[in-house]
Amino acid sequence: MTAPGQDTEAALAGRPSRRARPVPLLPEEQDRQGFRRRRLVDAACAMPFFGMLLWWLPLLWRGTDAGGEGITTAQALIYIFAVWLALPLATGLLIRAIRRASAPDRPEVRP
Amino acid sequence: MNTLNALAAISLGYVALLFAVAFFAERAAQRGRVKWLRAPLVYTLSLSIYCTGWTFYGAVGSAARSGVEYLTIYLGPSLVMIGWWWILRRLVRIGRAQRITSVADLISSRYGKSNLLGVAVTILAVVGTTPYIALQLQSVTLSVDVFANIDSEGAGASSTAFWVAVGLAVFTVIFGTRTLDSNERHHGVVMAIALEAVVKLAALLAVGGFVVWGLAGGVMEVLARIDASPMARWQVDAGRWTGLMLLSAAAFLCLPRMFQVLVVENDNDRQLRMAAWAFPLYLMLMSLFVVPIAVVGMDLLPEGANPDLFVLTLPLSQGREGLALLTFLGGFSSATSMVIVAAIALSTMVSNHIVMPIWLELRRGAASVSGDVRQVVLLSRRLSIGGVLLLGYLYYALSGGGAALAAIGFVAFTGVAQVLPVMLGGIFWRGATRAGALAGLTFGFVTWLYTLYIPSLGGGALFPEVWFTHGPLGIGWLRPEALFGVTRLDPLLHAVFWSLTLNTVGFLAVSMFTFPSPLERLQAVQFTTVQGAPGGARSWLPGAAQTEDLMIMAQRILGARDAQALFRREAERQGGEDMIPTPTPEFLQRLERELAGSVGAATAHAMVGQIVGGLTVSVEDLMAVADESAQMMEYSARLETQSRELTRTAAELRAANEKLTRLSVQKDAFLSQISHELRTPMTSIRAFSEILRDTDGLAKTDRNRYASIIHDEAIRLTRLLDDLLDLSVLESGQVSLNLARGKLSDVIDRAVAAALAEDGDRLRIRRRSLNEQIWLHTDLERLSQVFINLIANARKYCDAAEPELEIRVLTQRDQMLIDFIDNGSGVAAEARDVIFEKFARVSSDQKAGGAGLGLAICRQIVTRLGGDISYVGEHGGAAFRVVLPIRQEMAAQ
Repeated sequence: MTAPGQDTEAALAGRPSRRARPVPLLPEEQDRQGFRRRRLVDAACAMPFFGMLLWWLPLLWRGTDAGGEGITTAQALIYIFAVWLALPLATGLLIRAIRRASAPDRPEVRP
Repeated sequence: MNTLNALAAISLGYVALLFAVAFFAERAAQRGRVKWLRAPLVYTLSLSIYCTGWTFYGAVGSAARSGVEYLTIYLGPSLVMIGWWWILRRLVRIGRAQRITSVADLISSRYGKSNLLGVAVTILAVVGTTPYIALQLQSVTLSVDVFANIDSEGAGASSTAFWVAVGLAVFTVIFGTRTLDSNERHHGVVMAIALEAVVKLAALLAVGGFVVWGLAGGVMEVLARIDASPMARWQVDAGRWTGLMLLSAAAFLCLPRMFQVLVVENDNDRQLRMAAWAFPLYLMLMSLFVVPIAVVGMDLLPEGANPDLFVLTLPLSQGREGLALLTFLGGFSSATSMVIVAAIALSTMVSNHIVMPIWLELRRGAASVSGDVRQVVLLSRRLSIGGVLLLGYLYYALSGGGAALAAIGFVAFTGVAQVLPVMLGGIFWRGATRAGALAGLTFGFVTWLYTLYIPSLGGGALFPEVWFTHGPLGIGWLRPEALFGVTRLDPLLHAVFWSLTLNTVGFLAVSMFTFPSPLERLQAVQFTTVQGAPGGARSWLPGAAQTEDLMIMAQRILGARDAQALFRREAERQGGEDMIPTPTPEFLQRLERELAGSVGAATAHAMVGQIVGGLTVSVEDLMAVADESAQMMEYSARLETQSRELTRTAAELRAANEKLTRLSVQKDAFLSQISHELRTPMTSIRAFSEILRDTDGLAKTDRNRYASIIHDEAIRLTRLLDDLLDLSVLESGQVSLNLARGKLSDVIDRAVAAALAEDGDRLRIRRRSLNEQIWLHTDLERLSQVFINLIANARKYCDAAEPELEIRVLTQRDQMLIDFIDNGSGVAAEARDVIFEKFARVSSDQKAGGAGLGLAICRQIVTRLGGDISYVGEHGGAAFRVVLPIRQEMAAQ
């Protein structure tokens, strides 16, 4: 089992490792890690389209007619801003997850 | 002290603070303390120049007038940032690897360092940005007017725009052109605009907080007020919602000032990773309180109040002058930061793509000897900044600052968005060509001018009114706001649709039908496959470049210290002793990239080109390089073949030489042999003829005997001479063959009889006559001569106790083999390859009495008959094989 320990590399790269890993990674673990990382990147790539979809949803809403049922501007604004808060936060979490999943010394490559 | 003066003093104080921040940031950068200057947070905040004075004040106005549509211009960029992995990540990596200095530089560099494209993008950017700068000046003026109206003095308000423009020009010149950094990063400016980002966000949040909790009484109350306001009913125009979202996303990438902070000022991926999520949140906060302010403003302020200024007038109307002041500073920050960065970005473009190429053209060939280029570049930047701001001011002054300006934001967005297809095509599509880019930009630009820009100046300004109703020359299809008969479309969407469609179609179509130059293709690969690795087209051939000249030029652009350091580094890399590196292509390429950071790729290319000699890298140059290497490879291959041939020839020659040496030894031996051969009969002829002459009274029998000895010896001599003569005739090819038809068995019979006539039946012959029934058409006499010789040889040399010769005949498809195999010890291995030579005699044994010419003659004859004779010694004894061709008609039995 000569797979290099992630912590050693992290230490060499001058970066503190957040989660101490006492056992070096096995090759299949590294493979799983790489696979997980690529899927996270896929998710990050999907985010803008997801956001576009969510922000196009208000176009389908019917506004309130006089006294009728429907969406008011206030409700729409709450929805839009909720998406606006959630989307960047999700993106931030994804970016953090991608950074954790990538080996410290490996440059990020396209999937 | 009136309000205006206080305002002026506070503004000046604020500007002084900005100066101080910029100054200390520059100082820190010079001392190498750049870590916190490059902090991702600073980068994120610097992106906030997207929110200009137009959005700071105008968003509320837009919300009051047309509902929540204003959100789209923030939603689009939010999506771009969230989707950073797609485009921005690529763009910043390309920007870093290729030392891109502006949008124009990116396009120019991608499409084969074409300065024409650089000029086109620059013009587009200037035309699109000038009204925008005017808009900022207007927003500052309007906000100052608000305060002026309090005093009802109004003095000097009209000159506000002018002095703001002058102040901004000074600031930008000082901090935007302090250094000619090869990275084109402005730490001072970035720090200052980061501070301004904080100020404007704080101002807007403060006003928002005041409105929500101070005036409305809480979040729920604000929501209730919204639902009670004229905009309560949720209705959005789907076309405008989608269109403006996409348009703002496109403009976010293409606006020169955004490109400047997004790509040019970017230092590492870490910055982008933070901005990707933090900047959308910033935009969200910036637009959070817009609707509440608009709704409350409409409630509280008198009818007819300008909603664009609600942010300012609302606090003022409530007597909150401190808050209003903060708001003023926020608006001031928004306007100034936009103008500063836009001026830097535009001046870089104008200077690199228009002023410097013209200057270089005017002083052709003088890049290395005339004055300080560094100063020229800086001067041209400074003049460009002044020019850009002057244009903005003139636009403001001439347009009169009317309501027409308010709409100019989207007009400018649409204009700069024309770069998008070419930009995205450039970084994703390898097949995009320079001609395609030029076509796309031209189509887009012209359509934009025709359908949006010129109409936006006001009906009848440049086009007659009738054009809008009936089209130019009465052609309805060409109506500026209903192109190709597409009517009932929002004029803005109409223009966005047609300009981007024609742009993209032109770009794709022309790209598909044109062929890129080699340099373009190289750059295309560099841009589409960037992985953060530095690149650059291998473009300079080693030539007559004078390193000293390059040094002088580099000093003028990079500064003496940096240039010398660069050259020393290069010399060390090349392993030289002194600090003058040789101008290898790699070095020239690296130098060009360094210079490109200061003056742009195309200019750097031109400058190095002037000194190196090859101004452009033409197809011919590349072909020449390819040819040269191909020739060298071919040459070396040929040399290899030749040397192999030579080796083979040498081996052959050595073998031939050995053979010659052996033959020469044999010849010497034979010469003594033949002299002996000739001498022996001669001696006996002389002796016996002397006896006949000198001895009288010889008995008749004796005399007869002596005479017949003389006769025999003479015959022997004659035979020897005949053989020699025969051989020389055969060898010279003068022999004429006496072709006849006969049976092989007859020929062998005759030969056996002749060869064995002399000494009876000592040699036993074994034959199989059945095999010999072959008809021949050949020179039978000569063939029998060969057989006689072979049989006689066997008789003479076979050393077996009971000598035996087997004559075996074998027919193969088109030839027959006649083997003569005896049961003796055969020919010694070392003698086998000389037995067919003249005078070769295997043994020095005298009993044979031959001259060593027999086999040589045999070989000559067989060769003449079209066959071959060889020694095949593997049969136990000596074995000779005669191979003769059979022709079809001869094989008949």
